[in-house]
Amino acid sequence: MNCQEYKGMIEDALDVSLNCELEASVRRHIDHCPECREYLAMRRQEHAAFFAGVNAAYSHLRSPPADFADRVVREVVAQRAARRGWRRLALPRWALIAASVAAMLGFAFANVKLIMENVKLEEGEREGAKATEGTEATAVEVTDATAIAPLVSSDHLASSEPSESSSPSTQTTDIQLETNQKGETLMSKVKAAGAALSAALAAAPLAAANGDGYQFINPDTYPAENPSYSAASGAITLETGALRVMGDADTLEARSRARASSAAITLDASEWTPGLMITVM
Amino acid sequence: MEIWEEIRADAEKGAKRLVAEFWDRLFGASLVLCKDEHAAEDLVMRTFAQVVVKIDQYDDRRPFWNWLYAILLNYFRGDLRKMKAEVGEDGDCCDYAEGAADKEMSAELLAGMDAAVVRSAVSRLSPMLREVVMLRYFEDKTLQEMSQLMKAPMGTVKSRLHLARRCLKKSLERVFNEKESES
Repeated sequence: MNCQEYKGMIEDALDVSLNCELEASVRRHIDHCPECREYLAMRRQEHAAFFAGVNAAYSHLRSPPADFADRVVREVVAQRAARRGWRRLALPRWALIAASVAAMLGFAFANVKLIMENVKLEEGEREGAKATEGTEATAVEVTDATAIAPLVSSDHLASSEPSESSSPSTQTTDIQLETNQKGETLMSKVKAAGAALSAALAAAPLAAANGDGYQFINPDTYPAENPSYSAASGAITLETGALRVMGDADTLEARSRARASSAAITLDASEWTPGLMITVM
Repeated sequence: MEIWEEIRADAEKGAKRLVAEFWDRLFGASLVLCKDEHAAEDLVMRTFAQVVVKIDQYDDRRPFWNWLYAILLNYFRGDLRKMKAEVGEDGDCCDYAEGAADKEMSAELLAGMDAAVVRSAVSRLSPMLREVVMLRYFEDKTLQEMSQLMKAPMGTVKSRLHLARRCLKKSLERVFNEKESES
């Protein structure tokens, strides 16, 4: 090897790290080659000069402006808001996926806002006479899927800000669960949501709504479409535009015998059945 | 308490600590990259904010420092792309040094490398080369670390480093000579 090649090796070694051990062959060479020895020294000196020069030029320049930390905090808030905004746009698909996951796991999710409106329910056969005046509106609407995010992605819940009502003017029940953070809070709210749903189902006879298109529930009469019934799994899916309910046939059959009450539904945690699931449409 | 733990526990306190502990270093680095103080300050500010926002993604088996730098470089490159899109060009460049011999620096130049000369010389480099100079000569990163931070293969980093060194020398010489001829 000639000096040029050794210089190349020296340069490579110094590029990797200044304190890097030179290969034995290079060390042997520089022991008896003054030129390459000088080259190595020059390289080291040069690096030291650059390092010292650049550091002197750019270190300890000045303190941050007095309000700098506040600006950082404001930026954090802005960035989080931006991320949330994005999530909100992406909501329906996430919600569906998350809800399917949740359904498989056998629990519902929180942050559910139950809004009683727009869905006409028949009182049921036994109250046929009262049916015209006694119909009540029921819809279960999930307004914010943030709460289900932990089931899907751990970074979704950066904020603890309460969810905003998308339609503040609607008649709502007192079941409005705020955005929650994680873990314990989520689970308790999940249960509450489940309870709410169960109660809603109990309150509204799942048999039938005419005209408005929200129908239920005898699986025998709704074999395939909306709501759908899978004889194989015993699972029922019913869609009410804003709501999809999944549960095993027995559960829903039982609910279908329950009576409709009114817009104000009462919750009973014992009503919560793990097999029941709602998703956002 | 480690800083990332503090940020996780309390974002605001964590942000303050970030500023207290990392301002000096990060502002210097970002000034190597940006040239202009306002841009540098803004870059540091966004980097800190991003650190707080994304703290859950930080893997504490890795050096916090490197994570910080990766975010800084990301933003820097993003800004460059935006700038390119707006201005439609690469900003300034130091093509004049391309192919220049990697020759020895004179003793006068080595001795005359004061802060003003260095800053002026660095500011003449292209953004890509300022990135290399920052990592190599401000942070003293090894080639491997640079390769990770720059998300580029070792060979690329190496050739950029060589180019950066040649450009820096050339640039230093120019500034130094200009200064000499002025005085």
